Amino acid sequence: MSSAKLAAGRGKGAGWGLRLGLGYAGVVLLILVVMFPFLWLLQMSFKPDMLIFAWPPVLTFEPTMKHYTDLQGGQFQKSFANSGIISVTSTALSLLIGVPASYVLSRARLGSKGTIALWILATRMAPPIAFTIPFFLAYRQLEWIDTLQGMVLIYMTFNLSLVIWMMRTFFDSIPRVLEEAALIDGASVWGTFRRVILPLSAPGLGATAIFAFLFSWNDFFYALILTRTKAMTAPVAVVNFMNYEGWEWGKIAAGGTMVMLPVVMFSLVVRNYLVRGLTAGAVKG
Amino acid sequence: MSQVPAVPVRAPVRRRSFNLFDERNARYLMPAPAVLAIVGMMVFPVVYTMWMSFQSWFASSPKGPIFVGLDNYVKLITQDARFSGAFVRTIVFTTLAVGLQTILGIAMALVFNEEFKGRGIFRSLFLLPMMATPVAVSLVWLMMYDPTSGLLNYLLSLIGQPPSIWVADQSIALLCLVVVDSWKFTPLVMLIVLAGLSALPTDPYESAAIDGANSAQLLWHITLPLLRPTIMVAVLFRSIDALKTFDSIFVITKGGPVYASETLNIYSFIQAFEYFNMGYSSALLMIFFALVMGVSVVFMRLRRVSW
Repeated sequence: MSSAKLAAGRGKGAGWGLRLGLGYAGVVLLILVVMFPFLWLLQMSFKPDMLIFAWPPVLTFEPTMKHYTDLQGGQFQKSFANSGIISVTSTALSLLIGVPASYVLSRARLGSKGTIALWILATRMAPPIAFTIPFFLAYRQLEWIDTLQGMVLIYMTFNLSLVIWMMRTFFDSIPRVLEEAALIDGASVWGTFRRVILPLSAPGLGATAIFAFLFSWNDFFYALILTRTKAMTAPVAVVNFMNYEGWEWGKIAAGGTMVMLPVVMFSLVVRNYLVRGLTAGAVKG
Repeated sequence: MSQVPAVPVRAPVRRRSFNLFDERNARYLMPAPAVLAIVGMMVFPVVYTMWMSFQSWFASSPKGPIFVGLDNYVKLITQDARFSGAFVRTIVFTTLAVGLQTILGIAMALVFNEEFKGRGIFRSLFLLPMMATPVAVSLVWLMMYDPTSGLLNYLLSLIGQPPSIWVADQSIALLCLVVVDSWKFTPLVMLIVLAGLSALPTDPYESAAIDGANSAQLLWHITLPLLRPTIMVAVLFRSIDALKTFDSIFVITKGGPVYASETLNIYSFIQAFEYFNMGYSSALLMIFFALVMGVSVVFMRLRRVSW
């Protein structure tokens, strides 16, 4: 029970209905402020060109799909596909090598798990450019600049600490008795991990995968530095519209909407794990 | 933590012998790829950047790096006005943004902690700003800040105010970016604080209610002190990320007008990838890294001391 709730309980009486009404009005107003940029982007993406710069802004118009069809067949479509391929592959790889590591971290008698938490925090603290300079120079030597494998490798690396940390909390919540029973029954360590532990942590795996996917999908920074045209990802493509076709607000809005579509869907799926994902590395206690 | 051996090494093995090695060494084999990836691709690059910070080298030149000792650091600290400007702006931006988000986020958490119909839906909607693709929402804000057809000037005209040039105005460009950052991350602070609120014990409230405390006293003397560790976690994470804000600044102002919104992250990007001045920007990054670490350590310390 919270202080607010206690206070509300005591105040139940004459002005209660009014307070509730005002409260709702406040909440709705708040939601409107928070949601407004999204709604504005959405209406812009369906607005005919001639109305986009109208003053005062026009809100009633016949929606057009023109901006979306304009995106087809061009750089944006290719970049969108690149983003999908890179995000899915890097997520799969970071789970493949991160999940077993996380399991051992959860089960091993390591002296100081706090140290590992601190290490994960430290990787968050380092400015991304500090990692990017060596990556850029190495990729230049390897001719990996503007390649899909280059992007997959860098996102895989940066999702590792997230995967290890998130999965560890899920593994910690699985009682050891289960795997001890499996081992007594003659299962191997690997078999126990595959057939007992992984199925039990399926929801955690799903949430972790979505987080890793979203971080790769949303990234702009690494793609800006390490891609040119062939491996360009969707966020860079949208920003390029602004730089080179800055007057095409409809097209920019349509591109922005397309990029955010998977993000919105997946975010709602993982909403209950969100705080855990975004504060990975928080030292408990 | 339990004292049972973690991964029992001597589990009964009934498999072909070549798997015996795998089995015995599972605890080393399972994390090995991750450890290799982390050492090779996270630890090594930072060490390399540190080494590079003592060199003078342009990546665009055919000549190799030349060792110059601490020259880059000395030059940054004593001669580079652009660096000191960026340093101050980074601190100002972070303080304003995190301060605003923390206050608003706590207030919103107290509202949303009450039971009301539709609370779940509202909470879910709040997730969108922080999860949405940063460059996409930055572009929306850029359009809304547009001086000629942007929505914000229209809103100003509705209340009879003269139009503003927003992000093109040197004196308020940084503030405009604080607004964008706060729009994005106030809900995150709210969610963290909500999680903290739901874990608060009820006893202190019951005894305070018996003693006749009013709701403002409850909030100030019980809720906030109990929430302190949670709030510090939110402030810590927000500060680390706010110091490093890149996407929104790059998309909306690129550090401009002139250098009015150039933070350390933007300046080091320009040094490294526009001027290709690798040695110099590496030194800049080391100072930047130290700043982020320093701020984090301060907040982690603050969490443990009582109010």
